[in-house]
Amino acid sequence: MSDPILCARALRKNYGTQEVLRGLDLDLARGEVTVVLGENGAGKSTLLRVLAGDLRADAGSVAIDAKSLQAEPEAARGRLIYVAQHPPLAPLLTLREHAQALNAFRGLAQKPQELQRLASALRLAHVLDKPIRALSGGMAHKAALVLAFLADVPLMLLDEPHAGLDVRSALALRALIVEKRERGTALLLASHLAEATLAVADRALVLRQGQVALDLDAQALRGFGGDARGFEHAVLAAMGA
Amino acid sequence: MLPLRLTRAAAPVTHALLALAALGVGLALGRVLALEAPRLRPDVALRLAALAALPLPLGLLRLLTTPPHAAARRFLGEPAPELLARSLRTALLWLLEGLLIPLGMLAACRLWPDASEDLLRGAALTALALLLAAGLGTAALLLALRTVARGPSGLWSSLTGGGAFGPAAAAPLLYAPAFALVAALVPPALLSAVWGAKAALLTPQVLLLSLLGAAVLAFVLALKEIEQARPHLQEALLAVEEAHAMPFAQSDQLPEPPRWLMPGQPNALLHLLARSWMRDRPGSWLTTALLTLLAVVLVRRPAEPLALALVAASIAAYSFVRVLALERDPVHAAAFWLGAPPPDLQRAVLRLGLGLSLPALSLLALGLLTGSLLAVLLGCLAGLAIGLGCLRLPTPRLRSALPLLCLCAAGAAIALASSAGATP
Repeated sequence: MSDPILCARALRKNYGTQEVLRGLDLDLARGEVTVVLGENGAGKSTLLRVLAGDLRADAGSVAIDAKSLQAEPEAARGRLIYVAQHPPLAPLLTLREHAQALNAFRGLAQKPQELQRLASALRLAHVLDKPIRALSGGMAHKAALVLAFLADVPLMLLDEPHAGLDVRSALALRALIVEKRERGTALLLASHLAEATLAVADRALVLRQGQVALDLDAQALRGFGGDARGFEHAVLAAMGA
Repeated sequence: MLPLRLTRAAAPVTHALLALAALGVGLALGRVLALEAPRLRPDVALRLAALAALPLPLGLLRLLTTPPHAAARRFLGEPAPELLARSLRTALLWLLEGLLIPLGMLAACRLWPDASEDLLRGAALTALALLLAAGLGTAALLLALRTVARGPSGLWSSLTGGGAFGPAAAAPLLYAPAFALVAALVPPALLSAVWGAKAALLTPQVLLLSLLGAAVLAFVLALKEIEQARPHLQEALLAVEEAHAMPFAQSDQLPEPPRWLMPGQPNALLHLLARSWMRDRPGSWLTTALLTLLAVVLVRRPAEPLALALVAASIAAYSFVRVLALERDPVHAAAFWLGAPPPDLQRAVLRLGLGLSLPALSLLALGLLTGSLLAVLLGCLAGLAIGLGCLRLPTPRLRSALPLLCLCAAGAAIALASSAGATP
């Protein structure tokens, strides 16, 4: 792969005696949506956190847009945004205030219309000026997604972005993911949903025991022809179930 | 059923620190009373009793309306009355620790034997105020919880004017501690008036009988209210939880930080931190100012160097711990996630911490007018060292208790340092 946006080599991460990542290698291409699948505890969230610099790897290296996460952490982190399952939003600040801060910290121009558009797409326009604490769990998660899509970064890491979303919001999220991909942004998603994966992914990885057990490219994914059940069987087989 | 233990906090250590603190405060109050002119002592004793009793209803408000780990305990199946009973046991411990304040005042009799009779009366007034504040505070808060569960009542609406402050449903809870404190101070005020008019009437027997009567009254009222509130507690706690989860939810205007907190160039990061902090703790700078005012008043004129140094140390440690609290605020993690560079974040936290401590630091300057600059400087350095030491303490609760311990050490030192030269 020439000029990958993310290049990870020999990543290892242990929690005590439990090995979660075992020498994992990963390259991500620009403008590509990659979905990571695997059973609970397979290391999907750990992988995303390590790639985001949110968690230190015990061994191995990560480079984002040719900037080493170990040697130039601030430069590397500035090129990505990571949305965890429970993103750390400030409970007493509003979504609009978060957006203003995000743009200020990242040296971006304030984009009130873009914020309005994204919030409308995820049906949050009416709560833009409400504190995060006044929103439901699902709405707070969508608020974090709005902020992530607002950030003008070449790499987005989303941990289970569909979790807790209603059907309409989930469809809107798919459209936003496709739109970002078309603008050249690379997205790495951790997910359990076969149908959503087939709808947006250019590549699917199945993690098993801290290593990539299955790597399906766009052609292989198209081969399923939208058959979510068939895809699930392939994933289950890779997981060893 | 085995008691559920959901915390690893070192409770015995915290209670030991609080007990030590109460003794220190008692010694300091005893010193204040002993050095006052005899004709003014009844009034001063009443004020000190009010000051000592003030934290109890406020602490009860927090303990009874938002019991620790309430959601987790409810999820695990613990009924609300048992949850409240646990909180009441903690409140009883607080009361016992609080009663070490009058004991500390009695201990001051050894330092000022000539004032021992008045110190005994002052200690009895303080104990009376503490007992009544605890008992009436518990009863008033349980009554308020019952009101919250059953909907608005005419009595509360007439007392609170409809409760325009905060969520309407929780309005009685905001007023209950104040009513309890005022009611608790009526008997000490009457006894203080008797003391002022004819001190000979206020014998130890009268004081003992008053104390016993107050204890019985307070506990009977509290127990009666516990029984009556029992069926409504679950619903009341849920209503309070809901009110807490929705602050400003219906408001169009969210509070902004005051301008004095952010002098100079506009700084997005500082503004973000200050905004979140002030919405969460709107009175935090006022608390600092009041605490410092109290410290400066305790120093008195002329300030002893040792006492001044200890007060300075406690203020510096308090400010430092406030900076630590800023770092634990969820907005800190949010700012980092939004892309704030870590060095800028550290600088902004430090700057805001200093800004929040500004009232304390400026009031400390008043202390400088009456004392030695060197003592204040050394005290501040010691306070910062204590604050740095805080970083190594294992639990947040211990980190929070340390400045309190410093204040008490300051109080005790004021008493001890001035005992040699004091002339009652």
